Amino acid sequence: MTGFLDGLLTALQPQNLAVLLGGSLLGVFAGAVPGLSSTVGLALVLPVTFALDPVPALLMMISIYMAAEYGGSITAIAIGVPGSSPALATTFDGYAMTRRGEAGRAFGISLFASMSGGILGTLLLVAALDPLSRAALAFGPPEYFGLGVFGLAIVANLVGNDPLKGILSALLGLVAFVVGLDVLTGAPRLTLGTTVLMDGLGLVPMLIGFFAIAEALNAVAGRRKPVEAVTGMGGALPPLGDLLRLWRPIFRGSAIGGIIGAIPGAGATIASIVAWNEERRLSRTPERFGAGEPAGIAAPEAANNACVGAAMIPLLALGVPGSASTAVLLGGLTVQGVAPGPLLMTEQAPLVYALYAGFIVAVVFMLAAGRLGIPLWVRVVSLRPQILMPLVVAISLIGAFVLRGNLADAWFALFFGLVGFVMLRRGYPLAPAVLGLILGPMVETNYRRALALSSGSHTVFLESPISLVLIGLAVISFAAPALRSRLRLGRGGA
Amino acid sequence: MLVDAHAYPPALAQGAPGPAFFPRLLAVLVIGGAAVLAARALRERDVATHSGGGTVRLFGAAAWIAGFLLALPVLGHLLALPPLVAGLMWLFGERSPRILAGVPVAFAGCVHLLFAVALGASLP
Repeated sequence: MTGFLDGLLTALQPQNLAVLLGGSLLGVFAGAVPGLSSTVGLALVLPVTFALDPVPALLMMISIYMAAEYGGSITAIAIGVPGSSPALATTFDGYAMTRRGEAGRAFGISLFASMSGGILGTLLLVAALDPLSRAALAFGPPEYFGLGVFGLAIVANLVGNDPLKGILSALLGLVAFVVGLDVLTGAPRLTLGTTVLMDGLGLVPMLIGFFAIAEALNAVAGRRKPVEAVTGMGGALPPLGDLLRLWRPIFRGSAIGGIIGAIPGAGATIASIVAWNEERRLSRTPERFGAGEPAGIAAPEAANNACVGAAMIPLLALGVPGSASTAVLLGGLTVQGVAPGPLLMTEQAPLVYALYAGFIVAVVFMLAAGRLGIPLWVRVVSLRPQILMPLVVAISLIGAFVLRGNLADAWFALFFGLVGFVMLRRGYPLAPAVLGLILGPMVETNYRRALALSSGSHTVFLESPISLVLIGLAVISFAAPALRSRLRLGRGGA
Repeated sequence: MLVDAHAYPPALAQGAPGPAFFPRLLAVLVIGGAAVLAARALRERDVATHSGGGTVRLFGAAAWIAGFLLALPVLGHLLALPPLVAGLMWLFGERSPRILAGVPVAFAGCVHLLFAVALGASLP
């Protein structure tokens, strides 16, 4: 309790309140504008966090993450276009309510549900981080290898509709990781004989290239249509009757978001769709879903915000990011010299407590930004992409340069932007590539270390129960899509 | 990757794989995945459809960004950023001369204030 109070005092310091407020505003903006997202918002702000201390840097990033998950609902409700993918399920009933003249009520429900989900997700983080970190203290090279393989397997399979494309995307990230000096021997690999590639391609240029430049190139090639002006929107908290009626959907949505958010690779989009579907399934009037049912907004919005706190559990306890947004967060932490993993709770306890408190303050700022600013946000999302996207590209290139003061990083960002554009156009998910780059060192170095310790015997991976379970789960994850399609074929043929 | 891996040194520890193991494994997996994709593409006759205008704008934007990166160390960020932003805005379809002139200059000023002045970053 003392630790949490200290964390709260840290989060309430003027500088930290300022970054939390700024992050919340930027997060709502990034979430609300179609084409941006929490990941783009985080990637854009990375260069700014370099100049901050670890606590304000982390607080800024979590406030962006939290607010962006809510921000997507503004566009979803106002114009029927999800500002970001986790708000997809909100469009089903949110836009229907707007067309029925109940936009203000829909905004209120979304805001209240997002706030509730954000708080419940944070409570889950507080409850689970310490026990999971303690459990992870027992991890050695075989266990970390199993964890890395499991992370890659689940991410490659859960993202996107085509498992092969997910796996190839993850392989691309692993190839990108190989470029540079080998961690164990110092041998240069795939450096083409140049010194520029000795330090590797880098996580931040990949993040900026994939999530900012590729999106902009995709927009310039397709010319996204400007959003039509929306008028007559008011923001208010929902009436008491709605609150009493919606507490169950909000609680269920938060629980679904909390569970799915903690699974690497699943993410807020899946959680919100599952929450919406569960509400419809449990409802006595399922036919109302999709036609403006308030529970159809409350459940997915609670779910996607509950995912934020939950997604931090594997990131902070194990060092495994479960989504593109948490991968960017990991990039920010790494730049700050903070190493997530089992020792984080013991070595960086004040930072963790400040993070807990920061989440709660971020929810309050998100509430304020949403409550007071909905008419403004609706106007902001109408900002023309022909102005917004060039600014995103320019700030991304400057940001890539600022990290190490190396122009090569800006070139790498452009390279990854072009690669990311091709992948987007061909239906390859980008997140597995980023996670491949992040998990590559965990997989390779721990595999080699484990074999060095066991004099080359692969039984070392089977002797550890944790490693055995994780590798087993990875095999199941890889095999699941093939088994599912076989089952479908079997049913189709019967 | 397979060719490059030939030049890597052996492992430091007895029985452990060396630095060439992982790149070789990846190369085999990538080749295998690419073969499956190629077979699938032949079966499905998947043909990409892109509009001509979109391709021109895409390559125009990529070339403009590359030009900016070449010009940045020579001109410095205050002079190199406005043409980058203005050119990209034009490629995105902006045609208002006031916006094409005003926004890029204001943006370059904001970048200078944020990164060079407030954050103390060393920009070219």
